[in-house]
Amino acid sequence: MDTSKPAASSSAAPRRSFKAQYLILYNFVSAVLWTTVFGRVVLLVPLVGFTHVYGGVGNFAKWTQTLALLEVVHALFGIVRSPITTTGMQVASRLLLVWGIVNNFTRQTAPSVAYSTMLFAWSFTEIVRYSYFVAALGSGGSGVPKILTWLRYNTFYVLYPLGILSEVTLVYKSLGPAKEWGYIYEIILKSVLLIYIPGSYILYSHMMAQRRKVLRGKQRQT
Amino acid sequence: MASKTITLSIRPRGKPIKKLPEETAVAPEDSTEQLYKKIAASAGTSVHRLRITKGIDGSVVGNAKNVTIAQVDLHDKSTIYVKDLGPQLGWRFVYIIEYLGPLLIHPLVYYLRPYIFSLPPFSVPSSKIGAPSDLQTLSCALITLHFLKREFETIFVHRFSLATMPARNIVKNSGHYWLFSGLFLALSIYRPTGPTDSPYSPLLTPLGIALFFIGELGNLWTHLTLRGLRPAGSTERGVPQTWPFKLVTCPNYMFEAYAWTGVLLLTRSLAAALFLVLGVGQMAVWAKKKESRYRKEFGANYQKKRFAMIPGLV
Repeated sequence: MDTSKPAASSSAAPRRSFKAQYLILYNFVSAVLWTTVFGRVVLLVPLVGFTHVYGGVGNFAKWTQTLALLEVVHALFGIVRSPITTTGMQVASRLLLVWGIVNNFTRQTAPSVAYSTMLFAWSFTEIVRYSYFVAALGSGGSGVPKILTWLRYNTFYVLYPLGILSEVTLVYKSLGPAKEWGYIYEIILKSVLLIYIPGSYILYSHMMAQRRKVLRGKQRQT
Repeated sequence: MASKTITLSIRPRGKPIKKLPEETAVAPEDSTEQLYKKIAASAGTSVHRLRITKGIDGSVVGNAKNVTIAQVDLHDKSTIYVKDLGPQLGWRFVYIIEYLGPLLIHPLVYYLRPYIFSLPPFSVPSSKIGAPSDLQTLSCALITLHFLKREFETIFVHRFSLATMPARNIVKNSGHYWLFSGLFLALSIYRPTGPTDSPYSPLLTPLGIALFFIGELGNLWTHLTLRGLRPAGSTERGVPQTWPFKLVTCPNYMFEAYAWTGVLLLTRSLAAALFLVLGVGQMAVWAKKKESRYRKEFGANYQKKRFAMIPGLV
């Protein structure tokens, strides 16, 4: 979900526009919510084990992720500059996981290690991303702490494969129970698995391109 | 300094145009757009109906805001030919009508299967026309979705470089969509005991669905990129520099081909195969034209592509 960019509302005007204020609030709230998800996951794993993580965080994570639907709305109405296709696809795939997979086939998917690793990868990425936006919007783009930029453009090397692998595992685990609902559900989930192949390639190369852009920009500054 | 006016003599090309003046006085620094407007006004017609060519070599004088009459090498006493292109229709309108055909025909044939297929030339006995197969339902949903997406793009995404096209083109273009991708495909796909009236394939069906969605999303993505190149209300051109456009000249056609390959795997219908082959053929021609146009228009600034449409193939 690294494609959305902060709005270009960082003008010289001393008072922030309503749009900027709203975006800061949205990103701040999201950062706090994902920090809660992250905290719960890393505490629950040693306390109750992978199999019981869902009981302590499942509902909370589901609704936190559902809030990201607003990002599609932002892109749709041009509140942020991020492209609607990428944002839409990323939010849709996340919602498929929390609602379509884990909420429907809880018994077969939630106890899996993949569920915890997925939430770990998601929540860490989101904390960094939303904090980055809050810092960028709040400072007019110039005052983002270096550590946030570094985290944003380096952790994905590890966290994206971890997230994608976990997601694919969960979708794969629900093929069997989906078939009991009807053959069509299994077919749809199989199609989803196939779409992951080019999808993850595009997402990963997009992030590497972004990273190159940001690093090049930095070199120019020095 | 007051601009010196020059006089251009005007001849009609093709059918005579009533009220077309024999000559017109313009300033060399007027834009060609102003020339078009002037001639259209005196001939009592719309600028979109006219095409101006130079008498000396027959080359077209485009209708542009930022090109002056001097720049296109028209001088005092130069001759220009004016052609009446006939009644015109807006592109957007023509596109909407084109896609409306298949958008309505597919669900219609799907729901009216028992009536349509009991008639000749099919004459399937009504007892043999059962409920549609899941594959047929899925095909109908995806194909409808495809044309809904096209209508959506026509209304909200596309920015056209030409305002209008000759009105009679609507019949030709609509014919392709209404009859071929509409009626012909629909009759072949929803036919009882036809190739789509069969159970899922555990491999081909998900592959077809996946290809379809990859194609549609990729196609939408490229269309949004192309839209971003052209500021609202302008007809400027540019070459996209983002990823799929580095791969081939026209990735929008590549993705369109993927989507219809998906439909073929899903329906397993011969009509879909024919539609795919003809579609890819036509798009390949367009893509190659586009590549040579880019090379001509942008010259050394343009990074030549090896493939116009599908890597390794076209």
